[in-house]
Amino acid sequence: MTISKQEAARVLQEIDTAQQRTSTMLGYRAAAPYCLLWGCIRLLANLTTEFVPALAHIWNVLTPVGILLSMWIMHRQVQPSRTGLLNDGKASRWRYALAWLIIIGFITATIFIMHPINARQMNAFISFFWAFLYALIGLWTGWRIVAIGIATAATVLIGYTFITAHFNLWMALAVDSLLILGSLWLRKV
Amino acid sequence: MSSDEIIHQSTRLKIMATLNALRGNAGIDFVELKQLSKATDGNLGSHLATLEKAGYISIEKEFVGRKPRTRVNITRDGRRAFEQHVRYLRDILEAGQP
Repeated sequence: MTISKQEAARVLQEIDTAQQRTSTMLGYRAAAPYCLLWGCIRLLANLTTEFVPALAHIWNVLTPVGILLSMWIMHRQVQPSRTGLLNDGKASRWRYALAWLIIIGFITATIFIMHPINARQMNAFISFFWAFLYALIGLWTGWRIVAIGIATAATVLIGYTFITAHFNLWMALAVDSLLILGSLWLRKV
Repeated sequence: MSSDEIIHQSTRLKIMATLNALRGNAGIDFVELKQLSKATDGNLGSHLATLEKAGYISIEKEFVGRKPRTRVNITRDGRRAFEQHVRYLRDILEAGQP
């Protein structure tokens, strides 16, 4: 079989496209569980804070639970497994664990420096942080994650600017639902 | 070096490129592979059979609950053959061979 230069170039481009689509799918599959997890955790915490303000400390319980579950998800994803997701081995697990510590450190340090901030500002700030981080990660992973990040940030901004009463309800219905729907979108190839 | 006619076919090329992008021993479900390679059920099945016969992929069928699931993995020979084919194509580009 003789292959022309033009055909070789075309075929190599097809290979690149196929491999890029696969990498993007794997990236979306890796990100989807985190969107779903944090969408659900935040939904529960925001609704509880809205309707039972005396239980607003639920954030202090659900946030560590979310972090532990995120680490568990990461641990499963980096197993030398059959899923094709991020199986780089032990070094990756340490990197992901340290990444969490760095993120927690950054958020804690920022809140410390910006103190005093109220609950509404804290909710908005942490939501913005994750939304922009998603958008940043999406630049390497795929545009759907960029879209989820930007849409989340925009929704937080709208709520923070215009919704003075019932901010937690806005966050639950608009922002957290967006994350949950986003996770379903990421699971569809 | 010569081209691999089994891999060079358009749909089989997409299949092999997709499988080659997975790391280690990772496989992929038939349904996902169908979506990524944009093939129909029958078409994909036929091409997978050709690749399996050549020893380039392995196919595992299992049940998850009551649902049958088919997973496809690239073999070591398949990865090697795919990489050789890619090198062959790149050599054509570099040499300017007609």
